[in-house]
Amino acid sequence: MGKPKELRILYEHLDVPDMHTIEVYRQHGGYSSLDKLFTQEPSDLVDMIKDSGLRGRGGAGFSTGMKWSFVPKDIEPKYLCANADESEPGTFSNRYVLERKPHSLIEGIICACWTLGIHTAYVYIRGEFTLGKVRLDAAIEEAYANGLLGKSVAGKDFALDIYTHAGAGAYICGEETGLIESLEGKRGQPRNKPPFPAVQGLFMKPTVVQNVETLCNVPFIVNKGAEWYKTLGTVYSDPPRGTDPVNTGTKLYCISGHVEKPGVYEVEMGLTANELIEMAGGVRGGNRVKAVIPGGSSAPVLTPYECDVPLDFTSLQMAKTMLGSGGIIVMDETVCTVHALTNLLDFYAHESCGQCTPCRNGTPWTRDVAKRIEQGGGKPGDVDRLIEVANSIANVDTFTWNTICVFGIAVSWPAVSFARKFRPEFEAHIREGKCVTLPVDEAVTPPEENYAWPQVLAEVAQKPSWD
Amino acid sequence: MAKITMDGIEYEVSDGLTVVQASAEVGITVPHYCYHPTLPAPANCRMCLVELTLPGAPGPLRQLATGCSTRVADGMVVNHETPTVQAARASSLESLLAHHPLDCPTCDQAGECELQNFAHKFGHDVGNYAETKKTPPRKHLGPNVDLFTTRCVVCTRCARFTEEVSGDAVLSLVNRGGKNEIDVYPGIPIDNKLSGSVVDLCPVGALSSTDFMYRSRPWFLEEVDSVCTRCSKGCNITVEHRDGETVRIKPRLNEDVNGFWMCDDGRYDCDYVSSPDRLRMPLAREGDDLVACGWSDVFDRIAGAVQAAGGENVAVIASAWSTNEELHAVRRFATEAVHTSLIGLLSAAGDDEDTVYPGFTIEKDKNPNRAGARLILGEEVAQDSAIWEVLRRANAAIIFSGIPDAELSDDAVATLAALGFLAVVDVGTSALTALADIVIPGTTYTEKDGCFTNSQQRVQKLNAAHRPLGTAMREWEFVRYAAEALETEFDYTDEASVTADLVASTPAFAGVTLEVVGERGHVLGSGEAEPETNDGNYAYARMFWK
Ligand SMILES: Cc1cc2nc3c(=O)[nH]c(=O)nc-3n(C[C@H](O)[C@H](O)[C@H](O)COP(=O)(O)O)c2cc1C
Ligand code: SF4
Ligand code: SF4
Ligand code: SF4
Ligand code: FES
Repeated sequence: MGKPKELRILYEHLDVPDMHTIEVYRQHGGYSSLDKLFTQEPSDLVDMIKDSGLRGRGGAGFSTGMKWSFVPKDIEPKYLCANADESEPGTFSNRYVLERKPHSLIEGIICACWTLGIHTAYVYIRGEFTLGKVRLDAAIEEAYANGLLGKSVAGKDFALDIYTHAGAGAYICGEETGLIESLEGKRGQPRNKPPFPAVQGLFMKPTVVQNVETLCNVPFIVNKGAEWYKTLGTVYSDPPRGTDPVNTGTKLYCISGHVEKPGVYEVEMGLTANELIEMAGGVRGGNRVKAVIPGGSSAPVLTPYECDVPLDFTSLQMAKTMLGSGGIIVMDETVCTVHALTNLLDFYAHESCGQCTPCRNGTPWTRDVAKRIEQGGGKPGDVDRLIEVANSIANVDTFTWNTICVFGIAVSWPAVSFARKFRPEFEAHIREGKCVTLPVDEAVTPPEENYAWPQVLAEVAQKPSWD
Repeated sequence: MAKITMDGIEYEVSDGLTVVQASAEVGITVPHYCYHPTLPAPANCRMCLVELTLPGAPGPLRQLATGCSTRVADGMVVNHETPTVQAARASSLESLLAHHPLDCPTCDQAGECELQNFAHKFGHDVGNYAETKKTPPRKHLGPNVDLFTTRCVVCTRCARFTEEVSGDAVLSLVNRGGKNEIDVYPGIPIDNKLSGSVVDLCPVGALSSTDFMYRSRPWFLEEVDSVCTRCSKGCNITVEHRDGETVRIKPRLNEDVNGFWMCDDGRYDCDYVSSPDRLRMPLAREGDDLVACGWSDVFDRIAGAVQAAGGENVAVIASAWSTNEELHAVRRFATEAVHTSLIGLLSAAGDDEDTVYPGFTIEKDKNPNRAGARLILGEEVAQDSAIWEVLRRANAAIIFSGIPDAELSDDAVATLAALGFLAVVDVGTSALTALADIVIPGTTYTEKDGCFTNSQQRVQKLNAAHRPLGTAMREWEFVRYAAEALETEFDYTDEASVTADLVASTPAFAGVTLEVVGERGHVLGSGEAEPETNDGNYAYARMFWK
């Protein structure tokens, strides 16, 4: 087994000075996919993306090619929304694309729009990304000036306009239909689905919402083909994880928290949490890991016992968590997990759009119980209450929810997983009536008691090597 | 029709209904807050959850479906009472109750509150919420509407109403998440003519009518079906009364007339109907004053005045606020008892144009029965201007008014002052009674039976909510006695006998019986009345729209 190393594809040349300009971008091979793009039939391109195994990097991990195949061909106009709202705590890879390699997003948008017969694209940018927006706006201007956008893209009989829109600071506007509502000038409140955006989205027209990172993958697939793309990442050969190429490509893992060198690491999909932590210089000061959130704050937390799980879609799903946005948050032994959870739930209570009952009232309720435990006001039974209240927003065990959008499960996942996996620490707070941070071994619920990954590991063959 | 299976029983229900409506049709209550059949369904309250099996599918959907946004289709299977559904509903309720003040003892909605009803029927027996309750302050949103913010379940019905029906979008959500609140923009209150409807729409006691506030517990109210008098649209209403006093007026569903709504002009009518200034006994002029007199005085003086002036010189003025029956009785009184052809129609001044909202139109003619007057008195008589011509030619007049706040121009006052004798039937002191020699207490629409004919030529029935005030008598009765004083016999024994007389003698009304008119009216000339449908929105209204 070779030592995992960075493989920069999307982030290649990210640090080259002035990479955000069209000139430098082109010097480094930028926009080269367009030559191939326009020689291919859109329907072949959809098949190619499907074949590549590319899955959405924004959170849900839905097959991009599949999503594209749902877009009706005969309805005009259609829209593309590039989702650059990147607000999931622990996630910051889109941001560097906007700030340092904005043309790669434009190139991805051109590829997607040509493939889908779309002539208007919006980029919904998180409001706080001021530099990112300035850089992207400038890049779009350059692209127009260089004939890559406008009435005739690259001299072809294909028109495309890109507009940017800055969000006003709401996490929920990253949810695809919340984004669409916001873009239409309304309150950022997710819509009921169906209808899905691919059928009725922006201005009630077919709309593809795609994460920035997902879009940035597309030009490479167009350029080098699906077969090449499938050589990246992990294809399992064990039946439980299936043998389909669904964990292909590289992933921009954002690693933050208590590691020596936090940052974005681009590697082929499939290295383990432990390996990634090592790549990021290990836990600070040689401390022990206490908890790792593998896919943005909404993903169920991992205990140290689970950190050998490969960070890919399939393995994380089997470990009853998710790759989500690829935001890895590492917490070392100094962390009080009750405090960590309270902090997260404060975020969710602040960000719930509040339109549906279970989430509007359940999220602050969950937060309040956690906070009470943290502050020493916990009563016996409160951990179960916490789990029960969270599960009533969205039930993590049956994977069902009574909410309009999956924000509901984004709240109950961390709430229930923290409470179950660090139950001893929660109970200690209640017992002692104050905040107590237990050593790792005492804080964690014994592995046989609650969590999936060690059992999965026992079932599947060892993690395949990945050279 | 669609064949669907609900809770194991197969039903045929109308096509295109939502699951909430279809269930109501067959008598199953699907609890809900945000849904209203005429507004877009945001499916935000998460109360109407059902287990749904799509037509042809092998089993139910994994996630529960919202009955408000799901339309029935042939072969669909709906279960209302699986353990999952029950748990989910109860959990949504618990969530709503978490911050609810439960101030039912002082809440006007208590007794007709969907939070009480659904919690009683579908909720947990204990609440587990042990954290701090939010206590946002009560807000004055407009002249007629207050928001008890703590009671709001954030269903956004009210906001959607202002978007879709009144169209001014004055109500909206502010803030986010648990801090969501309904509010108005600073300086822009809810002050449209449909504002009272948001109080009806509010499923809980959050939006309150400043008019009805603390006036009566709803369970003490008795109700009768009636028709609004404030314009020629004739909105179907329910008059709610207690101890002989009308205390609240609410719209009643009629899809062909007013839908679920009514306007505030009619809604706040109880102010004049129940005003302490209403006339309760006949009055006779003594110098500058009007003093109480007996009924025999009234009839003697009318008979005397008619004889003195000579019947043909006496004008008899009917009112566009009178029922068809009253108009008919007054017309007969004029021609057969007074023997005059000087007949006119008093009407309330109208607006220049209809008041049009995206989802509701208030008609410009401010009289409930001008259409009836046209048919019963004739086109010319029913013209606005005809009355003054008639009065100028008369020496004496008997005017039926009943129009609240009727205004008189200087010319009109001069014309009336020139008369040798003026008797006025009215419901309160007015510009007319100020000029009268005899004032006869009349009845408002809440005090009599009868029918109006609206601008669609739809004959609609009102029902007396309570007796006339004091010693007042209903207009047909007054006409009968006045005719008797003029030695003319009308064999009227009750309202029905007047109706029968009207129908027998006025071709336009041929065949119109109370059965034909029914609860929702009958358009004249539309042939045989069809049986009234009770499906869809009517089934919904019966179950949820009290
Ligand atoms: C609460 C919530 C927040 C989300 N925030 C983001 C976000 O900031 N950026 C993003 O790309 N996707 C976000 N998503 C996922 C989007 O709904 C959507 O699935 C995604 O943009 C689709 O793009 P992809 O298929 O390329 O991943 C969020 C989803 C939820 C439920
Ligand atoms: S689940 Fe939460 S965030 Fe999503 S629509 Fe409902 S209230 Fe809004
Ligand atoms: S809204 Fe309903 S539950 Fe709430 S206080 Fe009023 S009556 Fe009680
Ligand atoms: S005020 Fe009433 S109608 Fe409006 S959102 Fe609140 S509960 Fe619903
Ligand atoms: S009535 Fe269906 S969700 Fe509110």
